[in-house]
Amino acid sequence: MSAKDAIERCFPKLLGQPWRKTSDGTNDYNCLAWAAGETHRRWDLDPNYYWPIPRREQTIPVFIAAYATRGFVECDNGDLENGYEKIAIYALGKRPQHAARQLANGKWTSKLGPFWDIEHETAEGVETTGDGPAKYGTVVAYMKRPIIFSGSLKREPYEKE
Amino acid sequence: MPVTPSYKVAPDIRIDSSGIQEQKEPVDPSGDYIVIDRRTGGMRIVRSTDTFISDLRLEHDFYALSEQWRRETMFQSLDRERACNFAYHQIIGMGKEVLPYIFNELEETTSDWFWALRAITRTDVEVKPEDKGNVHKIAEAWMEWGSWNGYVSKGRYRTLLP
Repeated sequence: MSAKDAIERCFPKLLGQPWRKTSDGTNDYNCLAWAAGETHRRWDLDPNYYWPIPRREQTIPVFIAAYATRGFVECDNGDLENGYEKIAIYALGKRPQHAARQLANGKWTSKLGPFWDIEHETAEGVETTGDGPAKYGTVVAYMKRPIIFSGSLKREPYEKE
Repeated sequence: MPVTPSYKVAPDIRIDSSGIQEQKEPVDPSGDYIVIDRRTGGMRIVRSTDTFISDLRLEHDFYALSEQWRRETMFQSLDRERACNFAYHQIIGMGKEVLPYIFNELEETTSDWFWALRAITRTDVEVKPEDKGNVHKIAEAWMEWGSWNGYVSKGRYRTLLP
């Protein structure tokens, strides 16, 4: 089975939409860092990883608070909005598992674990049911920030530290 | 990429890319096995209880379970989610004997092994606040720990302990 087939098998919603690989796999960063525009470190809850806030809990409010440190505020949907960059937080039940970022063209970018970064048409494209090697679940929150903070205009993302 | 052991144990145990295959009945009532090292062509006689045999099994099991674990968690992001896997639990269950194989892999696979190292050694390494999340720095700290504790057999961190 090719890597493309493996991905489409794990993310069945990608079958109905165009998507493409945008970079090779790496452990240097993960999806949570990538959603915030960082590629030099992993965001994770365990002690030796970077986490933007003191509370290291795998809950939706904690993940929302983590991205709030980067200028994101909650919003209603993932529609492209002029002047804003959006992210989507995915959870299986109440446990966050993944985050994706909207690109300036309205498409979305996800890092799939230690595997590839991909570009997908909709945020829902990488939703899963929880079976198989990707237990992302569904989008449980959208957040947005003014695009002045984002990596698309300024390579180094806004950091409030 | 799993490493296939370069040994062949004949005639009772054969090791190939699909794993260790063992016959039920020992051919030699003494329980001896002839071991052929494919790299050198050399032969040696070992007892069935020789640690050499169990080391080969351990090595094979480690790489087989690692491959299974990577396959089953390849798209997961959080360490705790990737570690929540039965194959990974079995690796942790192998205990300290498996540490040399983990350290052999650590320099290349970085964050794959931090959770297992913490669980097996029941310790954690310290990284500077500015290095939090930098998997290369964390791996470096673990390699130094492994070196000081005699678990690293090759590479620039190989142990200098007697």
